[in-house]
Amino acid sequence: MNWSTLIPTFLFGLGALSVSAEARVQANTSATTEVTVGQAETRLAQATLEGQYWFEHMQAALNQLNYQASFITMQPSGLHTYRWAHSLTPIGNQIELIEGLNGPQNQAIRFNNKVTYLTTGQEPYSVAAIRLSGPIPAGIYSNYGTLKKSYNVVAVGGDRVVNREAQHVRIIPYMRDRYLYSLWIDRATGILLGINTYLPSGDLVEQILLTSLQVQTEPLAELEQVEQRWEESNGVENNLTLSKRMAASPKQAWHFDWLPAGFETVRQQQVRITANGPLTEHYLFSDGMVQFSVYINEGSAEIAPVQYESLVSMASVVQNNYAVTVVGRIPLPVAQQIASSVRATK
Amino acid sequence: MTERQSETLSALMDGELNAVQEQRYLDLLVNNEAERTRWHHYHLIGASLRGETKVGLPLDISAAVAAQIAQEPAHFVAKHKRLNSIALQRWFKPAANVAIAASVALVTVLGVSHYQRIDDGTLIENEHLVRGYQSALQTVPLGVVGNPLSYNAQQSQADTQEPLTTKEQIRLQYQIQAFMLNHQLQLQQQLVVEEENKPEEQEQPPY
Repeated sequence: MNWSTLIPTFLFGLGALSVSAEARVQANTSATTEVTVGQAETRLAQATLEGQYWFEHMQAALNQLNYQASFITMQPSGLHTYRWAHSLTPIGNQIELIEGLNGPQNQAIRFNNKVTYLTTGQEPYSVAAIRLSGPIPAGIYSNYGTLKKSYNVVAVGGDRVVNREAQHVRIIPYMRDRYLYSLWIDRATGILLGINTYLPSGDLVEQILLTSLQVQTEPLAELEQVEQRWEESNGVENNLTLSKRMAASPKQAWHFDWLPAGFETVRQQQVRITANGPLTEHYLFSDGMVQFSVYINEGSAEIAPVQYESLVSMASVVQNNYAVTVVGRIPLPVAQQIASSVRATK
Repeated sequence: MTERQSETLSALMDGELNAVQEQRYLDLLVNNEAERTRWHHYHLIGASLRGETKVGLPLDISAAVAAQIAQEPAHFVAKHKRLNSIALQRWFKPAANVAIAASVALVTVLGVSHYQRIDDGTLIENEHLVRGYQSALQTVPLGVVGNPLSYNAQQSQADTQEPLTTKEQIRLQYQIQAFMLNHQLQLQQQLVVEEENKPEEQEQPPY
């Protein structure tokens, strides 16, 4: 952030601050700094207002327009290609589809608040969720107010992406303990055109880029067929599982000595990580943009201490009689620190 | 090959050429196969005279180097090494991660078939709560987990100096895959809870 260097002295007379112009003329050097900071704050406030506008504009567009797109993702594992389609049908159903285009068939379809995952060789299954969990970070659908607790969302100018005029919006965390994001939003339609994810150091770790985009007034025929099939099979709902908020039922209470600011518990429950494995205490935390899981196994014999650093980091820390594993799209040192901070409170 | 070129080659090997001559001759060397062969021979002769040759030493070791690299095991580093930007740049060259990538991909396939739940009835009282995970655990997430930028197994003090056995490596990869998969499943299922009190978000009119 180099706002202060951007503010030339001739801005003094603009009266952006409540301080009178005369006072400013008489001001010494330290006051000059103050004014410059004040101007920077004004600029930042303006960029933040625009950022919120574009961010919410994008969400509205993604939820309400009829569009189909293809996009690529570049990750540490290489390039992947996807197809993305969304429609709001005349009878008010919201249908979204994301399909991997390489390798085995891998598809997710969201029908209002139910998401079905279809993979070759696997039993299809559905879950209740208002968002599809796929390559597009779910955080971009988060409530702006939630994001605001941990991030600055600022508009930083224009760009050309996929041969379209794009608005560049950055999502910058207040603390350097999580990833940064850049979004490019189509100025004409509000559709997301690209997302970059950066480590706190500024290194790029993931790139998502639309390669084609078509926005139309009519719902997509393909998705209307999905709707038709859905209506026909109404009530059957094969394999549909509705996740419910589970009551916290720990025998043992756990205390986190440290969590990155802004992360809140989404839920706490017990899960089994492996078939016939022991019950594991699971916490899910979110700051709006990303989620991370904390798994606590009592009895540390099964878990080896390990650190795995990628777009999704994982750290296992073994204590005397329990092991803590943290998984999520957070920097490895942060995952490690969280895992080390868990204490038993009995 | 003229006498003069032979002399030039000798001079180059001995570092006796000036910069202009050296550059000119290196260009010739790069473009002329006969000259490159001669370059090999001269070095071989020199090495023989100094007693540095080994039986069966190949003239061109590039193939041997490639074979050696192929035999290298996946690297498990005993102590955690901080990620640096060099490691990050590496992901633009996917080949650098091939060793890890192949093994992790293998575990992905194995892991998926092994993590199927067997409902042994121990969860009767919780069944309605956990039913969602039965089929879900067989899934490959739509988003790709990705290869590691770095991958460190921390070993116990007792065997710090020992490289991990294949069995231990596989166990670690199972562990990583198991947690990664479960986290992906959690992401698939957590979204209603977070947003159920904010239905207005979806109803926002376009600007």
